[in-house]
Amino acid sequence: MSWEVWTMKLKTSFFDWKLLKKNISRFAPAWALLLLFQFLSGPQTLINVMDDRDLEWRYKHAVDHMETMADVAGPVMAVACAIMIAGLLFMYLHNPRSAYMMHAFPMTRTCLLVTNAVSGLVFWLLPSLVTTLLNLLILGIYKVPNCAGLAFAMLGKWTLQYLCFYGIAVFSMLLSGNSIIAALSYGALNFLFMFLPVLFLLMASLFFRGMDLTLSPTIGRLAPLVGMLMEQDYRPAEQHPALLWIYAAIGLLLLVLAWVHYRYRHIERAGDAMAYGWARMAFRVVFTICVSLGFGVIFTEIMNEWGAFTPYALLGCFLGWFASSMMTERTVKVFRNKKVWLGFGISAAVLVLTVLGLLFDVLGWQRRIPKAETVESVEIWVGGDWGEYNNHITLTSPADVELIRGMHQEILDSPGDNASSMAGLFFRGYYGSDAIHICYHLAGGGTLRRVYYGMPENTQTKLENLYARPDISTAWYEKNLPKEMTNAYMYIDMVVTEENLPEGLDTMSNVYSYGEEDGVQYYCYTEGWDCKSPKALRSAMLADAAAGRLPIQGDLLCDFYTISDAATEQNEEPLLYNLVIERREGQYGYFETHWNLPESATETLALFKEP
Amino acid sequence: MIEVRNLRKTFDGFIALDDLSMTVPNGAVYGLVGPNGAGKSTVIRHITGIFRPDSGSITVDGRQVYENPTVKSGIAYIPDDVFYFPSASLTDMAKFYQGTYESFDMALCEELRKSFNLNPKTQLRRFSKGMQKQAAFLLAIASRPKVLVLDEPVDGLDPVMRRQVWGLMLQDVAQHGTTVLVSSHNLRELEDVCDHVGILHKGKMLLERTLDELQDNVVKAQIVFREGSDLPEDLQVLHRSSVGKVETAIIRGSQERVGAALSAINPIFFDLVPLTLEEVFVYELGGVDYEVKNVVL
Repeated sequence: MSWEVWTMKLKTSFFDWKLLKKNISRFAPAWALLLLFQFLSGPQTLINVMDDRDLEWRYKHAVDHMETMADVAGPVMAVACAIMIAGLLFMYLHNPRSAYMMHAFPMTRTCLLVTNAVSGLVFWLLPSLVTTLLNLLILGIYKVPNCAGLAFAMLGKWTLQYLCFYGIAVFSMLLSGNSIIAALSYGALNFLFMFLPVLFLLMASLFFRGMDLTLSPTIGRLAPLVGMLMEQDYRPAEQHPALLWIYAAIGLLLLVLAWVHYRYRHIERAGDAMAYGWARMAFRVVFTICVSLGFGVIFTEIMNEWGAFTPYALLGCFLGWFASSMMTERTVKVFRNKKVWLGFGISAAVLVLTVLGLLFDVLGWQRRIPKAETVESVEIWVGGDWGEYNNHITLTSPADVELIRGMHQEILDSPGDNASSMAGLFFRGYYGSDAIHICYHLAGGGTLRRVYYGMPENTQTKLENLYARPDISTAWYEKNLPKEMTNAYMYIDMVVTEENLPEGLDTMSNVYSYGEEDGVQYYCYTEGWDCKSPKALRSAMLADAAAGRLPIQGDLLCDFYTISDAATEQNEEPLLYNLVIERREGQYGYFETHWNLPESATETLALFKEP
Repeated sequence: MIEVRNLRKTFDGFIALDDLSMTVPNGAVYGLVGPNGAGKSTVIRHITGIFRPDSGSITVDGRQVYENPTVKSGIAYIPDDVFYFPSASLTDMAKFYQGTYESFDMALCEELRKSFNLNPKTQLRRFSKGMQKQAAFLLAIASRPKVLVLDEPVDGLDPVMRRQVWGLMLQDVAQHGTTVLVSSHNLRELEDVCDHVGILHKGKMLLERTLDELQDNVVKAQIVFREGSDLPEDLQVLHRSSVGKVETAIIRGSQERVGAALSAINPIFFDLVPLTLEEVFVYELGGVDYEVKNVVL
């Protein structure tokens, strides 16, 4: 083929400037509105942020504002605008009249798709560029350092975010035959891959004894919007630097897939729910799974009875399958169709078999305990979320691993808990105080996580003894405390009663300093301190903190934390003092009830020295 | 020349076109007739490159139409239900067509607009259905196509406007040799403008002839027989009726052959009358177990 012919084909086959121009003029109100929206949320608010304070203050707030614009406002705007823009540009596919007219024009489908896709990118990029330039202007006027970097970083992020959502939106438009289903598909593609695993986990937790409902950040990242917004909540070390690029690449990939599908699209599908046979089946299956599991999970939670799951899930399966069939077949008369009944029968059978499989542990997952030689370490903690800060321990020695395996086996051999006894079935695992979490780290790099509610009495005793072992406490301290605080820890806060003595100690009098001050009793488990004055200890720590001898970042409050023992729980008067350090970060704070004292904390340490 | 060969198209298992073949010669005005659901619009949407065939081929001057912008730039299509960009005026659409069809003649477009008396600035969606059809016509004609494909083109037009539209189309054919493919239920109108006819039934092409061949091949004979005589047995009689002594017979065959056969039996009187397209349509399809009354009007 000659060069002239080749270039002529390129010109006529891949892009049509006239259509681009037509798109821009036809939808001018839409992208003008977008520009206004971006202006109001970008430059306009930036002006409000800037004031006459010093340069450092302005820079700090400009950075905060631009980051918020890029990381929070960006995804939210992009997710809404992408479907709106794709809808405007590709809606012609959903109306037979417009579909026939557009495809009668002398343009290839590739040309139509590329031109429309580029139009959609232009719709977003033009206002974004204007917004960026306005931001740059404002930052420049206020002499904010690195203003170009700030402004164009935001533009870059917006572009990547939009590319992701626009790809999903265009693919949804191509996948479906009408706009309502396209919008549903867009929502589904955005959230389905996060939503489905959660639904499956919730369902499995009812029948799978030991199911761990802890959701990893990875599941959140399966939904681009959640993933993008979630990045704000993570500490920098946990952020995935390439995540935005990955999302954008997915969007681009979906644009390519949209093109591939478009080439084979039957234009007569305009107006149908889904435009492709596989998509119709996928739509039915996914819709049915969501409705079925959704019904099962919601009604189980409402009725607080795990046995409610199966009948309600079957009802959801029926409604989901027939409703989706009505949508794809474009008729309500699907009940006469034997194939639809057959499909429902298969769906219901799969559901029942799945439930039975989980209930009777057909695959042996529930009873699985990893072999000792395959376990590198095992983590355990008791209680819900808060427990991770308090009693999360890691065991590596073969004896300890074997101990946990034995306890695990005892739990499995016991009648065990039953989900039907739970209040707030699905969240008990997260917040329930009676949960024991076991996480085996396997030699191959995998993990096996289990959570059980309640345990046999002798297992409970073993667990308590394990936690009471000094080496376990020491290990916890070493793992959780800042590295700079070494070699000075003292057990100053361990609340021990006669019933809860550490191993090797006969009576409390052997290990505790006991005293009374101002009518208040106190116990302190220390070595070398008679603990005659908790007030003195408090004062010493405050003095060390104020003098910077306690190397704590952020605000530090050193205080006695009042608790009541079991015998006097109803008594409002505190009987025991337990020393804590409260670290405050911003408006939030948390307690670290165990703390090491650095050698620099001289005043405090002096109290612990032998008299 | 438009050539359709062994075209097959199914919609969810329903066979819309079944091994259909047809040929539209260059410069012909080809009438595609058939009852509702026969597949007329489906054929047209294949010829205009909208539908992708399941199998078979559609070529214009030997080149495939589907996904071929070069061929499609020579085809103008007026659907039965026209569509314009929302909020577009006639001027907007004309500009778009001008960018899309290289041969678009803006001067002709303006001239036709004036003859149709259409406001160029009014949004097309505010036009009546008839005016929208007129606009579609003038845009199609102004595109200077080699092939003009019309699907029920005069539906919704008043008689005066119908005449004007048909006149415009025939003028274009006469001046530029445009090939026209037109589908319609209105056989009387097609008879006036078409020189070729294809009859579709249940996705198949029943017959495809020139209008002359079609009308020459079937004759209506009015006969008064002598006592004891009857039609010769070698004549293929499609239909027979009588009023008093006058019998009317629809006979397949040329006027010469049928006339000679009737002369041979020496009737008291006979006369041969050419059939209208409508009558041909009725009697031809009557032979394929077809509910003709539902077909024609």
